[in-house]
Amino acid sequence: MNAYVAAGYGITVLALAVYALRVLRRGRALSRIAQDER
Amino acid sequence: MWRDALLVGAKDLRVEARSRVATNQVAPFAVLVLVLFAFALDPDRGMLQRAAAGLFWVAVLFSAVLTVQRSQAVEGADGIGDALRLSGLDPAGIFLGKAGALAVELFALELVLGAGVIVLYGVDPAGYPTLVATAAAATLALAAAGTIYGALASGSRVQETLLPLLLLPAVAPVLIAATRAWEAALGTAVAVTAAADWVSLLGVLAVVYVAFGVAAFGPLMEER
Amino acid sequence: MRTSTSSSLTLSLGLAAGLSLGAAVVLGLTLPASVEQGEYSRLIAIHPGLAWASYLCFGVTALSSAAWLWPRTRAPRWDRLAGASAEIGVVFTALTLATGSIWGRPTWGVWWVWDARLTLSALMLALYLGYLALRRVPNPPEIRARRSAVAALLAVVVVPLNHFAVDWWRTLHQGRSFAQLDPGNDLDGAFIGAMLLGLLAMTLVYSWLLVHRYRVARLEDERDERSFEEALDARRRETVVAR
Repeated sequence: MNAYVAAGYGITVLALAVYALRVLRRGRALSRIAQDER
Repeated sequence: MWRDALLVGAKDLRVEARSRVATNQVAPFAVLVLVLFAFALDPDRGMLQRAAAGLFWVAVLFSAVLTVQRSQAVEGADGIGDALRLSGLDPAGIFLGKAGALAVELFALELVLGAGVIVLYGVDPAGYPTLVATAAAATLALAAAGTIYGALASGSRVQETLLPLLLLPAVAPVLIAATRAWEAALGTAVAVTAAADWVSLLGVLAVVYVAFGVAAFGPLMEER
Repeated sequence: MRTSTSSSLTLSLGLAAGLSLGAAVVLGLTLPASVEQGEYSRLIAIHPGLAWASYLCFGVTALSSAAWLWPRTRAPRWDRLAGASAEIGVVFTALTLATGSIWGRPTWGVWWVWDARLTLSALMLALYLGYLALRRVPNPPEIRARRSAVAALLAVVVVPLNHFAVDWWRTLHQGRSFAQLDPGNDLDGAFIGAMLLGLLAMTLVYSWLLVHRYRVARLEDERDERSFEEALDARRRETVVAR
């Protein structure tokens, strides 16, 4: 496969995955704090 | 509204006339930027003449950031200022006054920078009607946009770094249009462009920013 | 009590987003090489979708900012929605620029050209990075919401102005993605299909991220409120002890 094409797809999927993971983990951490305090 | 605008504008200009920050600090800085450009682009190769229009407007933009910060600083640490808010002045008037004072200061600054470009870069200002018309419209747009973003960024500890990030992308069309119009007037344009088109785009920009400021200052002043 | 920002809504949205994104990637990578651009045209399954999603994000930001500013619909949820959408929009815009640049390198021969739409995207990225920076300024929630809403609406005005200025200045782009193609042609049909699937996939990814990000924003607001009340309580107790 062509390197440019692979790089384009790779960067997109990777960046979206990293961002989504960060949001999910932040949501988890905040929910836990909220639950602990209740 | 107009009376309030005159009041606020005259107050800002009076503060400026007494403190002399614009004349003693911002103007020398702007000229210094012109000198630095000459160091960066070798003056012997005719680069400076060709790039003069763009360099002039970049210098204006940088100075505008400083001037806007100054215009917000005179209202004290709390941005538009509690006193101004409680004064019962029309928010649109306050906006027009601050933007007007800013425009006057910027225009004076452009005169200094214009002289600097003529003297230091050897530019021939033969097409001065276009140059002045461009400067008038661009200054109005810069002053209006600067006043809005100045108010948005005011009162925060990161104001100095936040303002350029907010203001510069928003005034990019002013830089593009003013530079193209000046290039056409100075005869340094790469492609043949009609200066009148760019000047009218600048006119539209000025009208849009002024109208937005007049409409937005009401909600912004509701704070607290 | 939930221990994450997931729900049946995000579960189904996430599943749909993952499936469609996977399908778009597979379809995109198996596209035939086109005559003009060779294999590089395979990027059509993601690049237009990312660009579309970034506009969608900023559109949602603008609309919810307007809803916040309108006194009758004013509610904290509009402010959270605007912020959440803008943050995702910045991710999509950055990816649009990255994939565009990767596409441009083999077709134009350089990583970056001062083409109208690329330049506009770069300016848009800077504009919304500024918006996010403004949101992070520690201000009372009401003031933060008000200033962010004004900034978002101003951005809506600025983007078309930037568009005009940049468009007049230079136009090199290879036409609109759509206008160039002929749906009657089988080969072009495959490209259009891949692009549309990309648009759908990115829209679903966006909606999934938006729900999660919105819930995170709500949790953050609740936490700030709680810590404010705790500080107030602590302060009250101090005064009681001092007496």
